[in-house]
Amino acid sequence: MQLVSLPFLLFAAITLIVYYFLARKAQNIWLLAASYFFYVTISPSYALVLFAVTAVNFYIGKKATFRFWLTLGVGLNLVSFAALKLVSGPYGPRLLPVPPEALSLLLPVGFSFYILQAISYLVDIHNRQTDSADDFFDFALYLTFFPKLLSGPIERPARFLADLRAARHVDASALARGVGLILVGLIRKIVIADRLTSFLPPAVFSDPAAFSSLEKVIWLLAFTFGLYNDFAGYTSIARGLSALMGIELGPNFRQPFLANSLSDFWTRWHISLSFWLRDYVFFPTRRWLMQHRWPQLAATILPPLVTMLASGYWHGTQAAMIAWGGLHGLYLVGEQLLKSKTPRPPSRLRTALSTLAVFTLTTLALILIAASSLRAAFVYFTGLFAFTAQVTSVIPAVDLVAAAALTLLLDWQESRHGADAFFMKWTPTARAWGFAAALWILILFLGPQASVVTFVYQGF
Amino acid sequence: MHLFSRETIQIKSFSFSQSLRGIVYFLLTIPLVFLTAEIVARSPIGILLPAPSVNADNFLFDAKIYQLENQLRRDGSLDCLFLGSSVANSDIDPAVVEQVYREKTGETIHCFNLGLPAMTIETASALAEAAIARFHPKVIFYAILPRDVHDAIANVEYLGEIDWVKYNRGVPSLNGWLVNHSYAYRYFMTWRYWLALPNRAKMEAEASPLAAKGYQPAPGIREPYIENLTMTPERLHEAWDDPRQAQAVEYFLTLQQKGVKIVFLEGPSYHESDASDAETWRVYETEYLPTLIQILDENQIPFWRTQEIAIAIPKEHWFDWLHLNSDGAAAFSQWLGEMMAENRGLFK
Repeated sequence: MQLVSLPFLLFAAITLIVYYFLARKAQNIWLLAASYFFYVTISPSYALVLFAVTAVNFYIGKKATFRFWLTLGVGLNLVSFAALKLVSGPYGPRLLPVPPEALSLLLPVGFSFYILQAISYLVDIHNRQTDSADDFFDFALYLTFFPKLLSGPIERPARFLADLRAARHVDASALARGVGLILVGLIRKIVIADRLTSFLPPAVFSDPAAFSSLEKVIWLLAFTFGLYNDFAGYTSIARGLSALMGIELGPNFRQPFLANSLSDFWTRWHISLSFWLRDYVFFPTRRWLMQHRWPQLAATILPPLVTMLASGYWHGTQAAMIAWGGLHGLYLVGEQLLKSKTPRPPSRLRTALSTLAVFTLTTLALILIAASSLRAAFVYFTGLFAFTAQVTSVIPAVDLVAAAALTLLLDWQESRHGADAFFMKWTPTARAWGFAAALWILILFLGPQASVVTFVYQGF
Repeated sequence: MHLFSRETIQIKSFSFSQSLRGIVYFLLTIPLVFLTAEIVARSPIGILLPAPSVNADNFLFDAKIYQLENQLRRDGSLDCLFLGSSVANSDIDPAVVEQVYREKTGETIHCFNLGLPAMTIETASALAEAAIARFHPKVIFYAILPRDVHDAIANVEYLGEIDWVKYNRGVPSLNGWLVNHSYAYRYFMTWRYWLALPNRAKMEAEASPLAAKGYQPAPGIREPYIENLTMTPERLHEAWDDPRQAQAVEYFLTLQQKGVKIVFLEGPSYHESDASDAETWRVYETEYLPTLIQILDENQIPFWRTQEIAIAIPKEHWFDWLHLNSDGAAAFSQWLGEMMAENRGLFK
C-alpha cells in the first residue's frame, strides 16, 4: 500500500474515524494494529523483522542505563543495520550466494529509519534523557507509527512517548493544520516531484555521455527539485496525517535552497536525520577526541567527516553514496577552516552569493546520489564543463519552470511565515480558498495518465 | 481500561472549520469552473487549443471528431462520410470531392474523412454505427483493402471499446455521456493526456498535419520507399479463410438498416508497369475480390473499383506503394467526385 493511493486513503479514513471514538490507551493499541496492518500489506516478513527489533530493544531498554546493555543493544542495532545495508547493496552478491533480486528484499522498507529511533531510545535512556517505556505497546508504536514508518521523520523517544502518554485533542485548528499539510504534501509530491521525476530521461545519469552540458544542467536541476519535493511532500503528508490524530511529528525540511552556509544547509535538509547524526555521531566523536586530547585540527576535521561518511553509508553502500557523504564532510571541513581563517561581517550581497554557492555545491554533490556509479558521476560532472548546448532529449521547459516556480512559491510562503504550515497564518477565508484551490490543482494533476511514483526515500 | 471516549475530537461546529469550508468552496466552484470551461471551449478561443479529447488514446481520432462536430455545426448536415484505414485517411480529400461534385451537378454536398491509420473493418463497423447515431451521414464510403479483413498485427481495435463509441452505440455510461456532451470535460481529458510526456510527441505526430474535413495528406515520397506493405499472394490466399472475416464485412453492411447508404470503394494501390507483382494481382483478382464482390452483391451494396485511376496516377504521386501523396490524393479525389456526381442519386 503506497502512501499516495486510494487504498491508503480508505485505510487512513477508517483508522481516523475509529481512532476518534477511542480512549487514549485504546487509541495507541488501535494505531499499533493499523500500523502493523499497513506494514503487512507491504510485506509480512518486514513486519516480523520490525516486531523482533521492537521486542529486543524494549527488553534491552529496561537495562540500558547499564553500559553493558547499552553497548549490546546499540551494537546489535548497528551490526544488523550495517549488515543488511551491505548485503542488500551492490556488494551483496559477493558476500552471499543468493540471487541479487532476493538480496535487495532483505532490507525491509523503513528499516533505516526505525533502527535509528531504536538506537536513540537506548542511548537516551542511558543518558537519562528519557525513561524506558513502561508499556510495550507504546514503545512498539514509537517505532511503528505508520505515517512515519517508511521514511521518517526520525522521532526522538522523549517527545514521542510523552505524546503517546497524553490525551489527544483535535480541534478546528488542528484539523485545518493537518488537512493543509496533507494538501501541501500532495502538491509537492504529485504536481512537482512526480512530474519532474517522470520527465528525467532514463539514461541521463547512468549514461551521461549521450547528453550535452546544457541538458545535464537542466536534468540535474530537475532531479534536485524532484528529490526535494518528493521527500518534503512525504514528510508534509506524514505530519499532516499525524496532526489529524493529535500527535506532533518533527519537521524534516526548512527551505534548504535558501541556506547560506553548508552547516546551515544541514539544519534545513532532512533535519531529523541531520540532528540525529549530530547528536549521536558528531557530538560524541568530537567529545571523545577532545577528551583524549587530540589536536584541535583533528577535532575540527574528523567529526564532520565521520558524521557525513556515516550519512553516506545510511543512504546506501554504493561507492557513490559513500563518496557523497565524504564530499559533504569535506565541504563542512572546508567551510569551518575558511570561517576560522577569514571571518567577515555579513552583507546582503555576501549572503546572496553564499546562498547561490551552497545551492551549487549541494546540487553538484547530488550527482553522486543520482548516478549509478562513481564513473558515471565523474562523466556527468566533467560533462557539465564541456559547454555543449545541443539538445537530444525532450525538455518540457514550461513544466520545469512551473515546477521550480511552484517550489519557490511554497518555500517563500514557509519562509515568510516561519513555518511549513504557513497557511495557518492566512485569514480564515483565504485559508479556505487556498484549500479549495489546492484541491483543484490536485484534481487537475491526479489521474490515470499521471501515475504516482514511489517515494524516493523509501529506497533508503 | 476505558475503551471509548469522545475527548479527542473537539470541534464544536463543523461550519467553522476552515478545512471543511475549503471543501465546501471547492464543491461550490465545480459548476462555476465547468460552466466557464464549457463557454471557453465552445467560443473561438477553443480553436486555439488542442482538440478536446474523447479519451480515445488516439489524438487523430480526437482531432477528427472535433473537426467533424464543428463542420456539422457550420453546415447543418453531413452527406458523405469516408471511412477506412490510412488509405482512406490520406487518399481522399473531401474538399476536392465536394468541389468536383458541385462543378458537375451544381449541387452542394458536405463530406468528411474519418479514415484512421491501422483501422480494420471490425473497428470501422463500431465507429460507423456510432457515427450514424451521432452525425447522421447520408452515405458512408468505405475504402477497403485486403488487410482490412485479415490484418491482426496493426490495428486500432481499442477504438471500438472507447466510451464515446459505446455510448453512441447505445451503451450508457457517465464517461460516455460526458465525452459526448461536455467540452470542458473533454478538454480536461486532453489536459490529462498531455500531462504524460510521451503523449505529447504522440499527439503531435498523430494529428499533424491535419487539413480541413478530416483529410490528412501524406507528404512527398516515403523514404525508403516501401514496395509492398501488406499484400502478398500468400496473405491474399487466406484472406477469407476465417469465416469471421466475411462476418465482419456483413456486419458492416447491416448498418444500412439504420437508414444510411453504403458504398464500398476499392482502396487504390500502385501497379508496377513491368508486372513484377503479377502473381499478387492475379490472386487478388481471382481469389480475394470475387468473395468480397459476392458478399456485397448479396447485400446490394455497390462496389467501386479504382484500378483504372490507380494505374493512371504516376509513381511520383504515390507516397508509397499503398498511399497517395497530396498530388495523388487530389487526382484520386477528383475521380471520386466525378463518380459521385454520376451516382448523384445516392444523396437524394
